[in-house]
Amino acid sequence: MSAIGTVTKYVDDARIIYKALNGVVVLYKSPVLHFNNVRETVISNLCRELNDMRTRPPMKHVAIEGETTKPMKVVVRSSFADHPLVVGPRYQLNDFRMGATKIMHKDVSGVLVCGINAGNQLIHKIKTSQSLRFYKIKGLLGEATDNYFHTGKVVEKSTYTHVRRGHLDKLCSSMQSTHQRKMFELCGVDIQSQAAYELAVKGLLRPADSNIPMIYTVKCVDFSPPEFMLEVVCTNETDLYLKAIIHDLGLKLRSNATCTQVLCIQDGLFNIKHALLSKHWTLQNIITNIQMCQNVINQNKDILHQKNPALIEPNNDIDTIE
Amino acid sequence: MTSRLYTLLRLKSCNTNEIKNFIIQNVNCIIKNSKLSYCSSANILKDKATNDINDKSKNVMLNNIGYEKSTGNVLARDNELKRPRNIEFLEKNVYKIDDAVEEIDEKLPGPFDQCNEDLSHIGPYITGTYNFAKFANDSHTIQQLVKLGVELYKIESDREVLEMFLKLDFERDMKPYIQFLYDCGVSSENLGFFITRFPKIFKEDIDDLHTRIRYLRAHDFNITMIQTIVNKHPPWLAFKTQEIDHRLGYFQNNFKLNGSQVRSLAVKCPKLITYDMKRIRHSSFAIKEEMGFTELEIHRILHKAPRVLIRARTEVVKTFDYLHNYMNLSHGIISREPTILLCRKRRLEVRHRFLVELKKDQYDPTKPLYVSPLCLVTGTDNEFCEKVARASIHTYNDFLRAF
Repeated sequence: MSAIGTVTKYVDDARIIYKALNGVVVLYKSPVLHFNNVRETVISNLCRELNDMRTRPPMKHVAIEGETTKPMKVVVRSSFADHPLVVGPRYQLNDFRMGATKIMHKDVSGVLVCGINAGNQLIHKIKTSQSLRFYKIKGLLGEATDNYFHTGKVVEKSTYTHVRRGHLDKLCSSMQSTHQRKMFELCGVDIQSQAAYELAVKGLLRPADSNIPMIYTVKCVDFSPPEFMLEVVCTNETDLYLKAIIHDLGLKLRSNATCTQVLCIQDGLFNIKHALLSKHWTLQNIITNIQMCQNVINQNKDILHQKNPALIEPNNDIDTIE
Repeated sequence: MTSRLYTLLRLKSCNTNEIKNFIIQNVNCIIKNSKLSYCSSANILKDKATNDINDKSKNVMLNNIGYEKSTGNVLARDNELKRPRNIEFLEKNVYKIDDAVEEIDEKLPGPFDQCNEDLSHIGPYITGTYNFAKFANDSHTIQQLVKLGVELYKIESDREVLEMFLKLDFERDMKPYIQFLYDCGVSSENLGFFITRFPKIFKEDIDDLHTRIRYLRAHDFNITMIQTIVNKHPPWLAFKTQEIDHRLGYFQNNFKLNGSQVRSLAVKCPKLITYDMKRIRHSSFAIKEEMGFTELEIHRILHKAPRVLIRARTEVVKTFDYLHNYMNLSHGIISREPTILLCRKRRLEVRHRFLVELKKDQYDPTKPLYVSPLCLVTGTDNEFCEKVARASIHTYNDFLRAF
């Protein structure tokens, strides 16, 4: 049985490959790029490569020619009206739809879970299941900017020599506990009820409202003044919310801080190790990635429809296809 | 027609005037239907008709007053009495109308007659369209252009071009131009590219085009130079000689170039000569004032990487800022390898930071372990890792993911 488990077949027909291009793909978005740029690049790469393959030949054109008084000829030839030079290449930008679980802002980089064509339905389900996201956020002490990011205009400067690692850790843990207390209020049931108790016994909970940012863990993982790095686990977050955390930390430390990097290292089950770098956004790599993501989704069906309000350990043994 | 007249006359309670008008209209119809030449005098006919009606309606009125109870019968009889006169009067005309109709009948064939004419030119009307595909199977011109490799879908957005191409005949209007292009050195594989880029060449006068080529010959461009210019940048031929002269003069005076330098610039990057003057002015300002290159350095930049002037000014300034202020490269080093100014800042930044991590960022040519800035930006990531960074590509990929 296992001997015939996989059959390798080589395909050069663009039509078959286009039909296979449905699913979820994990990309790495670099900073400075907006999601729209990413989408444009990926789709134009796909179009170009599909057009380079064997595509649909032009349709046949049936012409009845000659004078009507004499017997007329029926001529069948390939239609010029369907020639790629006249109507344009077979695969065009409009033939692909691409959405993401989260429209990333220009400043944010990291994992971007995208759906291609029919994969957009899966993307919508993943989006509503409120999966966790893991971020690494870098901060710079001693400066504050008007947009909370290092690209903005510096509005304030201060010293940071008095800041110690202990201060930062203390603030982080207090911030985490405040957020977790908030979590029980946001779980959607009356906090004095039996239902609330039963939920609280289960551990960490998802918020009932998908618009309110919820932070589960804030941890300082690196401290080398003036730079420091936080690891944040959260859901429903926005880029500005994360930047504002750094800014607030800076103020609490009796100094200033501005954010220099927001890197998403995991989105739900999809790790940055699986993400395709921009040089790998080619047809071959994207199709392999779609297969890998399909395996992950098959192993964890609850990613598409989350019934459990509590956070549970995912089935995390993802076998990477290289 | 006659029967219609009669039905009208039979109407009992109609107003006389209304009937009169109707009759006049009908008579007019008859006159229109039959050719005017066949009716002796239309007015006489009208007068006769009206008089007739007046008489008749008087009778009707009398009848109505006299025999109230048996009106219908009397009317019918009355009409029967009147009928012969009317028919007699109309029959003269009917005869003449029939004459006219017979003549038309000879010309118009019946629906089941055998057709001996050639009708292949008759087809449905052409409705509105926005692309060439509709005409592609019928138009010889378009088929020939497809065979030349012209990417018609790219130029159909320009309505003017679309209309022009449909009007032109390939053999009569296009062949001289294609012959001209071939004589200019546009190879047959390149003709499609040329027409795609500059479809309006068929609107230009062929003598003007000859003059534009002669202008280049007069300014010591040799034949291979002209070939490269025309092949590289087809819209060059759209510019009038005065305009090209003015542009070349601008580059010569503004950057203090000599004749051969201007010529090599035009051959190296013909697009720059025909580029938007406003943007060129902005770029040259940026290079001279914002970045502060000297005249000699600008000459080197123009010689090696003239596209620096075409690239968006803000992007060039960003790249220069990173090269000069973060990587500490002097103007001299940058101007010796000006292609690095064309590199995206992001690519430069990533590779530079990777080298910094490896402590291999040594850009001073006088010291050992020198890394050329050109090597830094050219080549794929694999080549970069192998030749410059000497690290594994996987390490570099992981480094890229950490940004």
